[in-house]
Amino acid sequence: MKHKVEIFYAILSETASPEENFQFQELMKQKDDLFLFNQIKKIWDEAREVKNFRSYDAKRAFYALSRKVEHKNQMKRRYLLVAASGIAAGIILMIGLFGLMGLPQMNQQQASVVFETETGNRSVIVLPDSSKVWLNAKTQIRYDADFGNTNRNVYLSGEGFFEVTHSSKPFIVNINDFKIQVYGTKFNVSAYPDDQLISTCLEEGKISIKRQGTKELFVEPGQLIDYNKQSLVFSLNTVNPEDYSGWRANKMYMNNEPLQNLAKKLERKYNISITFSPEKLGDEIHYSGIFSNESAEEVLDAIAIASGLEYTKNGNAYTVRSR
Amino acid sequence: MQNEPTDFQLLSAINTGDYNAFRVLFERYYSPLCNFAFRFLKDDYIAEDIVQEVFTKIWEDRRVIKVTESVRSYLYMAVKNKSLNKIKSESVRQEHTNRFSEIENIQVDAFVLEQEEFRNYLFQCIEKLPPRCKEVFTKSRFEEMKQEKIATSLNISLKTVKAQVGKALRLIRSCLQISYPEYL
Repeated sequence: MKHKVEIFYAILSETASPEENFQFQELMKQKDDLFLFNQIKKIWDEAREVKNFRSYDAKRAFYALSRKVEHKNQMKRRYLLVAASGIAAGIILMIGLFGLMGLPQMNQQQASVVFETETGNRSVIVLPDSSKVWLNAKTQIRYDADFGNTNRNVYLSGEGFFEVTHSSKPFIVNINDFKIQVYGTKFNVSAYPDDQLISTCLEEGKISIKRQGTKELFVEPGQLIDYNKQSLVFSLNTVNPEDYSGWRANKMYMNNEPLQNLAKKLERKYNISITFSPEKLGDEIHYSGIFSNESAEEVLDAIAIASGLEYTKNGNAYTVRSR
Repeated sequence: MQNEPTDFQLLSAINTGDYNAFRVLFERYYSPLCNFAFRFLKDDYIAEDIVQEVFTKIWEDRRVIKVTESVRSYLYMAVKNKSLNKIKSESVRQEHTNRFSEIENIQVDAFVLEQEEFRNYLFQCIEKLPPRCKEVFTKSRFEEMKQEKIATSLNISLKTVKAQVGKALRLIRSCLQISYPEYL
């Protein structure tokens, strides 16, 4: 005799033979079997409803959330120097000493918008869809004028960190014959033309990488995908994604802080001494911006020009005064 | 035997700023809520986003948050509302417009909550099936394949298909009896 559940299955799937039908009718006269049937039927019916269920990784998500909570707290304390240019294509946020170390160059050709950073300069742009891109030095990013309307295609040469907003339109980073398709996420791409590797590191979310003629490769958070342009080989490593986007905040980061603070940082970093004349100057003038690998004098030059100061040098001792 | 803290105990701890309690509550409900949100949003990434937003808000409001009814219905309600707002505000709206009113009509009442809970346990029990058994069962239920087609696609006999689905149903039932006794 078949197991009862198999008879129930035949009934539920409407494949029961006359014999099975008969057996089923007999079983339904028993209270216990009727009860069992109802349980099985509930499993059968509801199983279809869990078709799209999956296990979401709560531990990973909690880690991400913790970082967001932390980040929010930090954001309350600091905000970025923001310069907004009224450009139809979008708002540009620039961090850094624009005008001194070079504005990201924006050219509006007929059909596309281009941002470029020069050596030693970084910036952040906000695309028309509110996605943010941090550009490392010597990087160019271009997007079509109809970005956001019909597509979200950007073309990258150099290194960028992307924080992409969610939308039904796919966001695609094009690097020659390479496409990185984005599903709402944070990741870093390094694709300098003179480098041998194209490195993509995912911090959060979902992306896929596809080279023309190959299969789409999905990347998980914390994975670093290197593509060797010479050997045409992909390699995959698990890394701390922050190591790959650390350049963004590298490293001297000023938010409306008195010059005195900057002076201290410079003193520590370059083993020099800086005095202000008069002394209160150091507290009176506030400054916002990011410095990275500039020399001490480059930084001082930048500040001098921006704040109407001048400095004199005696060995390793610098004195800053009003002009 | 150590009992798991109740939702209510966790929330009280959260009220006092207990981040670990917050984590426990999060891990307890994260996956079920994401699956619930997915029903509305049809996008797992947005679903996760929404659920994380709900929890972020709880943490931010931890000092003032008061839940009079069950924590569970509060969470499901919040996820539903946030999902609706998302659909309203997003450019994905057009795709969703038809579903919008349909979703709006879903009441987060005791029945829906219980159904959702059942489905989560059911899903977990299906996940635990032996591989072959699971494969036959999901082809039958998720892909709605006919017995003959399953048999051909897996190169097994019709009899084996029947036996495997029968076995799956029995195993799921026992699994539910253990993990979710309310099912009885």
